[in-house]
Amino acid sequence: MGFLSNLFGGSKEDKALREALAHIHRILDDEAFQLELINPAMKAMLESAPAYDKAPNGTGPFGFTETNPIPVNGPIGQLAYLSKLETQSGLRILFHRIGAIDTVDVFEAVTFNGGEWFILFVDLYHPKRSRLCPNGFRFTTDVAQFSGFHKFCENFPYDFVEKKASERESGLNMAYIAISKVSEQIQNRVFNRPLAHKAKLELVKNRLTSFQSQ
Amino acid sequence: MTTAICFKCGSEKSAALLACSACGTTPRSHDELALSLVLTDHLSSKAELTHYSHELRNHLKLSVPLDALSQAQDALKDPQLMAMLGTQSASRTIVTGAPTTAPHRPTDPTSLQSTNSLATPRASARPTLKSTALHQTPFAILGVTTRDNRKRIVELAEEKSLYLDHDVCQKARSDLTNPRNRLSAEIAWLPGVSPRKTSQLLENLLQDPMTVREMAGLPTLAHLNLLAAAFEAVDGKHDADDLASFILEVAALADGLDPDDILRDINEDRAVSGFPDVQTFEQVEAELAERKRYYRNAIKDALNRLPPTTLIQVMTEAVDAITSNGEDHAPELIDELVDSYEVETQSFLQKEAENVHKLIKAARDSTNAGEAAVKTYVDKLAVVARNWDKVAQPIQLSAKARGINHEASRDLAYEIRSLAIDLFNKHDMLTQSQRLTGLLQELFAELPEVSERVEQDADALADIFRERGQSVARKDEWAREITYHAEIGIMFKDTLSISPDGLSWKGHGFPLDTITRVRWGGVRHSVNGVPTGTAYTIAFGDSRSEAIVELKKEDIYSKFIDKLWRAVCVRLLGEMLEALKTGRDLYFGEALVHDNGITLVKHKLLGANEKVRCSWGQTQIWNADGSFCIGAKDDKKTNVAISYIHVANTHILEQAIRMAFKKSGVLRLSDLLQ
Repeated sequence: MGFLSNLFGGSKEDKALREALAHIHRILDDEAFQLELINPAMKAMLESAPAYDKAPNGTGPFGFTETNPIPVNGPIGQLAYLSKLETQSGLRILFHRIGAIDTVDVFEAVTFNGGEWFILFVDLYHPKRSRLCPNGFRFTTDVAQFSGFHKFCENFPYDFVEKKASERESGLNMAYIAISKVSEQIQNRVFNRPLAHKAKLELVKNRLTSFQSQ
Repeated sequence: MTTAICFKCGSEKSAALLACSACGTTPRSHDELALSLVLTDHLSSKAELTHYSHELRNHLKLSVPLDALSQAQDALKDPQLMAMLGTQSASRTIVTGAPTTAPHRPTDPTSLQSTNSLATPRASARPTLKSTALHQTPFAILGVTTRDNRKRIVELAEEKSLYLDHDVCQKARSDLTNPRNRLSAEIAWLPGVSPRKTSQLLENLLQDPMTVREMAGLPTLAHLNLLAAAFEAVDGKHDADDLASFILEVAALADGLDPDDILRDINEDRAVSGFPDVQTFEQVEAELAERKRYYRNAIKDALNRLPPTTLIQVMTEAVDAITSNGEDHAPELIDELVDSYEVETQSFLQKEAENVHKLIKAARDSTNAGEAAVKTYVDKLAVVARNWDKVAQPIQLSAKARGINHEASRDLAYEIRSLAIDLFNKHDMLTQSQRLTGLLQELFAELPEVSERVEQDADALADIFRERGQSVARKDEWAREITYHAEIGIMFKDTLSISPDGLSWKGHGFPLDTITRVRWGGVRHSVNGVPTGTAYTIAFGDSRSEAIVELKKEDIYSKFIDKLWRAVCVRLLGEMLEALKTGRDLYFGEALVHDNGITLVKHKLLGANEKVRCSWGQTQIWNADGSFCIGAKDDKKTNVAISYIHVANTHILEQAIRMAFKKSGVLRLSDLLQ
């Protein structure tokens, strides 16, 4: 288990620290609490939507196409779900949102070591997050602190540090992974998009119906 | 943003695997996709891309390296990419509603990798015909050859009359036996082709009309007559790219018609059939002019069977390709086709132009309601203008190739430009003005005169936009630099603050612009020679009141003075110099400051002190006992000491005088303003 759990188990932590850590755990794991953090109007909309692990009428590979997106519970749910994913070789992913095709959000992701790149499709209009993983992924058993953003990162993932800092206002920055987990890779410039991924990005960007500043 | 070039026409495009905006071609086969990936800055340098573009535009052999192609082919093994390419094609079909080759693409991504080429629409559709215009010519009706004599023609006419319409057969006989009409029939037939080959070609034309496009070795006129007949097989589902190519093939052939060759072929057959030779080229040329009109009408008829969007696409592609985006002259047939197209689209363009006028007027009328209201009309204007441009594009390209402007497009462009200029000049709506200018650049690039002016507009607006951005950035930076606040006091704290909103002390605020006086300084205290600390004073105020801050902490004092100087003192310095320039004299303690000098005080031991006016060149300055001192160079008793801490704006006066003394030959302080 990660350091957060160890701290929880300790007996010497003062009350404030314990409360802060409990708060972080709720942000990361508690679906009901994640819904509490969003706008009440949106929350009502999400709660009225169906809860399922996979769209009953979805077609195509789960999570890899907008016709079969991953259902999750709102924007915090997106962060929580994607942060829990790791590849079969145990590598977690950094991610950012590049836009949306109608109501389906499109995320670009890369493993922490820069070895594999992905484009994932996520539908945030649901009250619960899916318990299924896209093919080639599994859920991490580690504490899944947030490792990406539901906004566009102009210099993804090299701007991770700045983007994490910009989450201060939302109060989510404390739920993010430590900078040390990616700083070495960022320094060594290990993140280079392969040709196929670049081609996919071009195609998917052409189909976006909404996008953030790019 | 990716830089890519089209594998077909060599034009620049924004993404490797998307449709080319210049020629409309989308890479489809595995080879086309791989080549398209190589033709990007992902795998090629900018110089290489320029070179490849040149090769493509000039139909030269493409010199892409094999290892780059191999990398591209590896990338195309990505299943998600291949699935996306499938979706891309499907979504394009839905959006455009145009005929597409997408159904040829296997929907299973894994099977795509083995697809190296796609069947062309004409091969897959294989239309057939029951008859063509060629089958209605006198030679075909009677089944005679160009080498049959008059007697044979009459016999065959009688024979055919038994089971065909008698009048039709007699008319055909007459056309073929009357020397004046015969030339017209011969030119509409297949001159120079043997009777056996003629029968075969007519049969093929019915069974598989488009095969005539691949035939080689036919006389030009005969080939053109067959191709014109094949246009009758074009229906509303015909592929736009293919039809554009077909039109270009016919146009190129028609440009190569040689009356000499035709005259020779006809007279050779006439020598056999016993009809008198055609004597003059003029007769042939007159008939050829008529024949070219027929080709144009055959193409027009085919185009008219297409859905409107496909028709526009075909025309645009054909004109764009043949003129190299308006740079080269088009064959005569294409020019005539465009002229017909212009006539037929005139009413549509007029209606759209009226809509543009209405929207421009509405945009102008709504300027008082603010930019948001104008934006709504600019949005609509963009849609209508694009609609216009889409239809007018072939006409614009053709006009550009002929070295003229499409008047209607030019007028429309200038009207939109006028709106863009007014939105900026009269209403300062830079964003909307830039949008319209961008729209004009995008839509009317084919109008050289408009394009040049709009480019200048765009540059000017971009400069203004950049300057405004810099100005905002500078303002933000200045705001950051001057913002500061501190808590002063040990037990009961009061807040001293400075920001773009003003200065504040103990809740009493002074807007920055109202401050007319500042003073500050520190007094060191000691008891029996032992330092006991420094007391700092900062005072600032307007014409009515003054705030006085007493504090002990040097870092707060230093930081605040630094901010105060940037926020207020620079302005006060400028205002002081302006006042002196206008002839005003300013008192600082005992000193009276003029623009060209200062009135000092001559201190006498006995008797009253005396005022002495000195020029700046006659004075010297120094600091002593918390004061700024100014004295006459030649008289130690003539001087004034102006307290920094007690006299308002002493620091500012000192700064002005020191700056003036640094510039040699300054006679007036206000010279610093120059």
